[in-house]
Order: sequence, then C-alpha cells, then structure tokens
Amino acid sequence: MNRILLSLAIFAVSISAAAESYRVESISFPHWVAPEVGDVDFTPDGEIVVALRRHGVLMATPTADPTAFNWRAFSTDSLHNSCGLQVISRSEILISQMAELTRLTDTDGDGIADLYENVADDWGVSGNYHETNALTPDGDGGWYLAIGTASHNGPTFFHTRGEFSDQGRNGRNFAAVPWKGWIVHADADGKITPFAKGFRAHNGIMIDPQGRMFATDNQGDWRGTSPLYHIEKDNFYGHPSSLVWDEEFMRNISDDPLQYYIDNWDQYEKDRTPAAVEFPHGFMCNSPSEPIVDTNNGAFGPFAGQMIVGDIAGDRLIRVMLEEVGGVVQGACVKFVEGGLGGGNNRLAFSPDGTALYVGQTVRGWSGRNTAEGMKRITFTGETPFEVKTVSLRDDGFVVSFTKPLDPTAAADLSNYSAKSYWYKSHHPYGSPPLDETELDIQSVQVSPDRLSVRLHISGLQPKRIAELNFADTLTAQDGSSIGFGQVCYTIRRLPKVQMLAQN
Amino acid sequence: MERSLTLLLIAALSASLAAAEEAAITRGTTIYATYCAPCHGVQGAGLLGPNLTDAEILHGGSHEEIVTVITQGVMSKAMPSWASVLTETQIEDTAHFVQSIMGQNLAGPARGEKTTVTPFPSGSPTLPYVLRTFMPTLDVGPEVFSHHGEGHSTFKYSPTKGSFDQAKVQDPISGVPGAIAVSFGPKLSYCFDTTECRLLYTWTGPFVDMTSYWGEGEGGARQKFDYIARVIGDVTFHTSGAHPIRGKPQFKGYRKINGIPEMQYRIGAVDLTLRIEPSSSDDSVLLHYTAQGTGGGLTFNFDSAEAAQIKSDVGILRGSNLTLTAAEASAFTLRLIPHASSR
Repeated sequence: MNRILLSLAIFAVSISAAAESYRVESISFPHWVAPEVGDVDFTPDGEIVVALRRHGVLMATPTADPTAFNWRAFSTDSLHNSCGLQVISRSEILISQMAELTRLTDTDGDGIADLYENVADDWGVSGNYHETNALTPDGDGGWYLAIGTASHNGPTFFHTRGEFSDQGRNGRNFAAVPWKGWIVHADADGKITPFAKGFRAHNGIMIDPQGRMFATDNQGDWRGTSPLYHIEKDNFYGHPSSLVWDEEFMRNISDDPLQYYIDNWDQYEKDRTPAAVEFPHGFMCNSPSEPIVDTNNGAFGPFAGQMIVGDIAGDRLIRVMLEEVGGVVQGACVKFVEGGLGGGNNRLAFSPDGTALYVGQTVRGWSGRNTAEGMKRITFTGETPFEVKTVSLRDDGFVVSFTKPLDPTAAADLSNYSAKSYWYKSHHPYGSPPLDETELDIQSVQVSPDRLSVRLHISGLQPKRIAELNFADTLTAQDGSSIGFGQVCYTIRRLPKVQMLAQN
Repeated sequence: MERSLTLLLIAALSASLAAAEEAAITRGTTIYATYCAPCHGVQGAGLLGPNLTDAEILHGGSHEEIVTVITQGVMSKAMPSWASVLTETQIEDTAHFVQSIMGQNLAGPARGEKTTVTPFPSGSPTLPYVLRTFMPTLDVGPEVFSHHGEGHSTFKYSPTKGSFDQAKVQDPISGVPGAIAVSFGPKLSYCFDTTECRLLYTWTGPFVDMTSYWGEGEGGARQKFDYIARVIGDVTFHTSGAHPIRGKPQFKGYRKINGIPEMQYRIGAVDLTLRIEPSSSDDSVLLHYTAQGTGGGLTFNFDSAEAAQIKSDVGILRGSNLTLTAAEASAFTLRLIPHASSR
C-alpha cells in the first residue's frame, strides 16, 4: 500500500513540458548506506553497480518498482571519494578514488570483493578535499583519468603525497601536487602519462562512439562559464595552475604560469583551446558533470547520437548537439529534463535495454547547500516530445530541426524567433557576466517541405560568441503541442566557409 | 480396523511433531530477535547479513544446512560461529525459526526504515571495517613521512578580490593523504599509510568521528579547513624513526582473508604482506608478515621507542634490530605490546 502511494507521489512530480515523454523516479537505497553516488554503471548481464563516495559498492538487478531494488553489497569498505567507476563484470570493477585507481575483485565467487589492487597511483594528493578523480576507459585496457584541482576553500597537508610546488599552491583553484588539473593516461600496468592540461574541476570525462574524448569543467577562475571540451592530446584548456607540472612551459615560458597569464591575457587567448560548447551560467547549467552519448537508437527517445550532461547544481540535465565546423567540434546546448530530479546530478548510465537513464546524485562536501544524494531513473515513455532536435550553423544563420512537424503558419511567422549573442570572459577573477550582449537580426525564415526544420537567416554572426536562439511558445507543432525547451545556445568557435552556403 | 488405528496413530504423531516444531519456532523467535536480527533484520529480510526470507537462502535451506551455518559460521562472509554462545537446542530452535520465515520473499533492507548511517562508523573482530580517508598524524613525527612532499604556507587568497592578501598566511594542516584506517571494534583500530607502507598507530576504544568530513547525522557540510578524521579512544602505539626496512615503498593493495585486510606492498626489492589483527588471548596486536625477495634475510632497523613495544619469537634481536633469515622472513608474526598513552 505504501509502495503504491509512494509510486503515485513520484509520478505526480511535475517534470516540465516534457513530462509525458520522460518519467522521473527516485530509486530507494538500503538504510545502512549514505546514498552519495560517486558513479554508476552496469554489468554486461544487466546488474546496476553503484559506487558510493562514503561507504561501499552496491549491486542490484533493477526492478520496475523503483523502491524494490534488492541491493547487495559488493563491498562495504569506505573508499576515499569514489568518483570514477568501470564495471568489467559482477566480480570485477575499477574505482578511481582520492589516492588510487583500485581494482576490486571477488576472487572466490561469493559476491563480495576480497581483493583491492592498486592499479595506478602516480599522482599527488595534497590533502585538499576538492581533488576529485573521474575516469573513462581507453578501450584498450587502460584509462584516462581527470585529476581535479584543489580549492582555496580548504588547506593542504604538511606531508603531501607527491612533490609540493609553491607556485602550484597559488590561486583560487590550485595544483600544488602533480597532475592536478590534467587528464592523464594510465596504461594497463598503471604507468601514468600526461595527456592534456589546463583543467579546473573536470568532473566528467568520456569517449564517444567516434572515439572523440570530451570533458566538462566548472565555472570559476579561468572559466567565464562552464565548458564542454573536446580533448586532444597535449592541448592547454585554459586553467594555468596545472602548468607548473609542464616542464617545458616552466623551463621555456614562465616558472609562474598563473601570474604569466594574469599579465598576458591576449597570449592566454591564443594559447588555450576553447570549449566545444559553453553552458551559459545561471539559466542553463552551473556545474556540469558526466557527459554520456545516447547510443540507444531511439529506445530513449528522438535524440539518438546526442550527448546528455548532468548538472550538479541544477534540477536538470542538459542536451548537447555537436557538429564539426572548419575542423573543430562545436555545437549547441538545450535543457533536456528539468524538475523532479533535485540537484547533485553527478553520473549517468543507460539501462541495458536503453529505455532508462540512471542519474547518480551527490553534492556532499562540495556545496554547503542543496544536499541531494541518491539516484533517479528517467524512463522514456514512448511519447515523442516536441523539442529542437538539431542545430546546424551556416555562415549566415542556422538550420534548426525539430522532433515533430511544425504548424506551417506558426513556423513561417518570424515573430516566433529571436536571437542574441554574447560571450563570457575566461580570466583569473571568478566567472564572468555575459559580455557585449547584442540582439541578432533574424532576416527570414524558410520552412522545409517536410516542416521538420527551419532555415533562419541571421546577420552578424561572429566566432567566439554564443548565439542564443529563442523559440516562442506560439511556435507549435502540427499536433498543437508547444515547444518544451525553446532556449538553445550555440557556441560559435568557427563560422562555416561561405561556399558551403550553396549546398543549402 | 487395524489400518484405521495406524492412520490415527500417524495423525496423532504428526500432530505432536507439528506441535513440537511450533514450540521450537516460538523459542527460536526469541533467540533470533536477540542474536540474529542485528545483522539479518527484524523480519529476516537482511541488513548486513543476507535476506533469509527468500525461497532459497545462500548456504542451503535444509534444517541441517542451517544448523551447520549457525554452528560453524561462515568466516568469509563474516557470519560468526554461535557454538560457544548458543546451546545445541537453541541452534536447533533458531534453525526451525529460520525455516519458518523462508519463502516470504520480503523485500530487502531498502524501504521505510530509518537510516543507520552515522559519522561514527566501526567494525568488529569478525567484520573489520576499512576506511580510506584523511587520518590525523597524531604523535607520528615528520621523519616517518620521508617519502612525502613537504607542504608550505601560502598567502591567503581572497575570492572577492581575486588576489592574495600579503598580510595573511594560510598554513598547511596535519594529515595523512593516503591512509587506511581499520576498526576491529573497541579492542583494536589501526592506521596504515599507503605512501610509506607502514603501520602508523593503533588505538583502542570506539573508532573515529567523521563529522568534520561527512557532516552530522546522515551527511552534510564539511568543516572548511578541519576535515581530518577524529580518532576516538586511547592510542596504544605509534611508530617513530625511519622505516625499519630501507628502500622505496610501493603500495600494491590489500586482500581480505576471512574479512581481515592483508596489506600488500614492496619496499626496495622485497615484497611484503602485513595482516594486522587483535590477539584472541591477550591485549597484544599481531602483525603477521610475509616477505619475499629478501635475498640473504631481512633486518628490521626499529627505532628504539618502537622496538620497546615489538616482540618476536623468531629471528635475532640485537638492540633495536631484528634480523631474520630468508626462511624465517617468508612468514612470521611480530607482537605489538600496547601501552596506554596520555592521549
């Protein structure tokens, strides 16, 4: 009876305009664990595995009733801030924790891990609470690890693991010990090789089906707003503290990278690799976490192939639409599911059948407020939502496609569209307001014959700007539904060359 | 006629057997509530121990199998042997009770129950608790941390100004970055460092207070500059001096043997394991070592203060140096004699 009431209460939670397309449920945990979900993944045979930041690793075969998972403990050890998980099987998993990448193995088949091997640990630990490690498998027996920086909101220890750098200790978020602010590669033997640098709090890393690596990062110092980066080897992604561990930079350019870039902002702009997508702070996403690609071929709705990103600080997930323009990856973001989740949306994993997305949640210790620990399940109901499906940049505008055919009259009405541009300055001070906000002139709209897309002609588009497109509630689909999330932000790194225009 | 009588007798016998089993279940209910419910849950749906209300239970559902598990325990699963606590009849009664609740398929320990999560975790002799967190250094001197970096002060950062206040200095704090703390309950807790590969200290009493890191109750805010675990109890040993075995340490992990962690590490060319547990006969702490790759043998160069608390039944102790042959070093046990400190 209680279960029925609880289920009804869950279904009653309003989850925005997309309510009929995606259902949000709260997964119950055993009463003896703090459900601070550091990461979540599935075994090849469909058991869900949850690594908790404080205490233990749980496994269960998901049930339709979100309150009836029959959890069992694969481990009851408290690993230190488990925030990265790779599941090999029911008897073998890997966890990145504060000081170690650890392999947990059940060697005697009783369902409980009895071997905890140190796979890799060749990075520093300063003692600062903020140093968080996320991982993604490299597909070849090794891993990429995102080694987060420390925060000025906490100290370091007198005795640090790894060499201590006085220059690295400076700054708001800092890299006092090796490989903080880097993505490093660990091979199967645990050998650590630096891969890319310049990160602040890159609490989310993944490799997409095309083999491209992406990492999110958090707004703050040297982050005007929160980015999603396309990661390529040896690139500098803009947070200078990590450069104290770049021998060449220290030897050839400056032994005080933080001050060097505080003093040389123009050089900073030349040296850093900009974001593939920026998430405008405040209304879109304040603290992006793990990205995941919808590889479910429609089982999870109409956004197959696109990226979904968690938001630690917001009651939502974000959807990302990427394309390659002029040799770089860039694209747009839009809200995906909002409401009913709570905050702390830290890690994402699809169910094996692809119909449900599990959202592992935690903020404990990272934020004094908005305590949200646990796990949600988002299930596609089969009802197609009316949303922007893709956004593609042209040198003089955008082609925007939708999930449902548009009402022809509404679609042809220019007053249903507006656009503006702005940018965020990444510099040493914390964050940035939107700068140079400019209304963009939408000159015309052409509706495609199938009414599934529109071509917007917009003058004055510039690189290094976010173009924000707004679709009014009166832009309805042919079936009468209003658009779910009508605010789409496209990060323009490059404009397409003019000759491409001829193809449209 | 005779046949009817037989049937009647069988029926009467069955009835009395059923009544006897009923009585056993009633007695077993009380025993279960006292000794079993803390791990298997009041309704038997499982807590730390497995759910007993499934149609089939983990180690067999026959009466004999259940009696065997209760009597002998399952060490690898931290199920204790109850032979020294319960009489044979009580174990029989409990087994009857367990069989009576099998097949109810009650849902696991997820719903509607008040959380038992606290910032005061602890373990037990049969189920030691392993905690990897920032532990205090306590009285362990800086010489012990010779393979660590040295943290320095910095000027305090002003987040509002985005600059450093040259008048205010922010100092490091004391803590162990790669610690493993283990609790066996009130009799023994210890802190092992994975960077130095060394037992740092032992204590008796509760275990740790994690409020400053995990927050109060079920969780919450961290103490901004003071989130090191608080040791609760009396420190009975702390290490001192250089590492008794010279060489570069590399932690390799730990294996649980009947639930008790065995640290695995390499120092120089020597591969060591160290399993620490409380002695069952007195207050001493047993340090079970194995060492491979020692060549001609192994010497512990103990600090004199440390040596005063270490006893060995093997090897030659000269001053504060303990020398073992390679054969002796392959598997040996040192005893740590605790002393109550002023803490």
